Amino acid sequence: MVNVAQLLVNILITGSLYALMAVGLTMIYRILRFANFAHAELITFGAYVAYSLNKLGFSLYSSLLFAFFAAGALAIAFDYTVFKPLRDRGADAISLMIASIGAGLVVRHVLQEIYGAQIASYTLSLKSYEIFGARISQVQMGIIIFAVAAILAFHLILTRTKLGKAMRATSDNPTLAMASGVSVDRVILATWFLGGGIAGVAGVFRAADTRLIPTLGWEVLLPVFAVVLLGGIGSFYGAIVAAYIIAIAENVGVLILASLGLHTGYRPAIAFLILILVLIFRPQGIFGTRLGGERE
Amino acid sequence: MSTLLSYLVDTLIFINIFAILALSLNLEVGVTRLMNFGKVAFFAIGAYSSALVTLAGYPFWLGLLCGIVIAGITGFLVSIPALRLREDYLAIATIAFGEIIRLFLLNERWLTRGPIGLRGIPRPLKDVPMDYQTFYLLFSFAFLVVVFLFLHRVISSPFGRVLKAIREDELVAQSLGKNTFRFKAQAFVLGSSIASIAGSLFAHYLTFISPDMFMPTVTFAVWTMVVVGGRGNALGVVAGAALIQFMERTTRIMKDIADIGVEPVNLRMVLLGLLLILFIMYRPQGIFMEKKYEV
Repeated sequence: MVNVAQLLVNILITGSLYALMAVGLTMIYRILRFANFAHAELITFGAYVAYSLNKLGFSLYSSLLFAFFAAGALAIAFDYTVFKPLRDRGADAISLMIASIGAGLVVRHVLQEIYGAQIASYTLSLKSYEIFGARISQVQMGIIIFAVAAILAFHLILTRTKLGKAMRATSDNPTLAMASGVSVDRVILATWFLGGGIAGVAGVFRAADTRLIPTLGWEVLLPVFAVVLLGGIGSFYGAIVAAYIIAIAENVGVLILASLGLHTGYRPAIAFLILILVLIFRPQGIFGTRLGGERE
Repeated sequence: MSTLLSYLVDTLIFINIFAILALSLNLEVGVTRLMNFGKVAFFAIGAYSSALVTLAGYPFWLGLLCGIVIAGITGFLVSIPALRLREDYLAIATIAFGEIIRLFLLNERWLTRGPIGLRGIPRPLKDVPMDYQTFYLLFSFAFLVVVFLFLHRVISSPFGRVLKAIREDELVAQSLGKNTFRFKAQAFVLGSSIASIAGSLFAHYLTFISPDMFMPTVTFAVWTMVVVGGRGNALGVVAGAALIQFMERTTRIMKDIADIGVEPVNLRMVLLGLLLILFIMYRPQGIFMEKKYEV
């Protein structure tokens, strides 16, 4: 018998985290027009920063703020050291992507050198509650509340602040935004910082919910790409909807796999398959539109 | 054999194997500009096909052939949808494809024994009257030479010129009446089959393979070989493979010679990442630039 309440809790956690991880990736993909594979390491970096602070005695919730600033700062550092110089040289999307793979490898293995490849864990409360038959730990409850709050906060930034509006405009149509007097450099900086920071926070949550290892971000990167492409590159709201769709597909898919007698180790393959199918059949995503003059 | 000599021979064998793999990627990336980031999948298909066939008692040559055929068919099936994609989408889709293949190897235990891997893979011609490692060095080098000359012929043929035309501007090639999709698919199938040869040689040298040897980082390492060596320049790509494999093998044994307190795998991956970034930034054409075609 399927525990529906438990399923919903799992979907809510998976989906919320995917949404948080996808924000920065999708906006950078749209504005700078490349698939940033180093995004995975922003997620991991945030998780390890929180781990270090947690070890020093900070509570997990207070170290979230530091994780946010640290991951945001790393994102800006990526841009200053790698991506901006490449943009200035007129590098194409594939060159930027290759460089991002390189940058990701460097950070991932520096982290692995510092913290080791073994599993690290936060000091967490292990209390859990039972709601409508679903078992939900205090940490998971915190994750859901914080993640939903972060999504709302990002929504408010995008819709209520001047910077957020400029970000949306640039993400929507970079050329038009520039023509309308938006300072694209500032928008790029803000997008790296906010998108990177929020990915770092998501990393902390993910590590708290599963386990902390140097490949934490890399493991979820392809599902997050699936979210970005399904939602339409550059679309924040598309990403949120897509995040929950992928979360549903994964959590329900596992049940289907099990009932078909297939190995549940195929769980990650569900998102990979969706990713490939979206790329083939609907590369503009569910909400995305094709940019004029952009080659498909 | 002394340890140092054995290490050198071992390194050279890996250079041969990975040079074949890098040459196959060069056909796709350097010559045709097909951004295949799923190379490791075809390497894995070759390794597993060859291992399974020989473990079932059949000879090496049949295993090698099975790998070539299976990788070629897989490459063909992948190319039908994939080659219509935009460059960056192709890159992402092929990474995802590579991971699906790895999950298959991990989960289909009845066939692959899952994470435990396949052990005791028979060595080809193991009764040769000479030191086996030295023999395998010559054996793998012979394969490298054949692949190199074969690809040289392919690339300098009219077929190869069409591939280069596609790389420079697909629309122009199309407007000259070339069915570019067909040419791209053929290049992809050929690249996949050649990667499978490298996989076979890899499996039979190590005599043990497991899914965690076929992580996406293998693809990234092979990409680094092609980028560093010089996209489009076959000799350069072989030099790139030699450089990266030398780095890989040296960092592996470094702990025994001079322990600098850094995990070899971390040092290797950081160096790989830095090489990728620095070459893309300062020398995107690689150490050896492709020779310009004289008219």
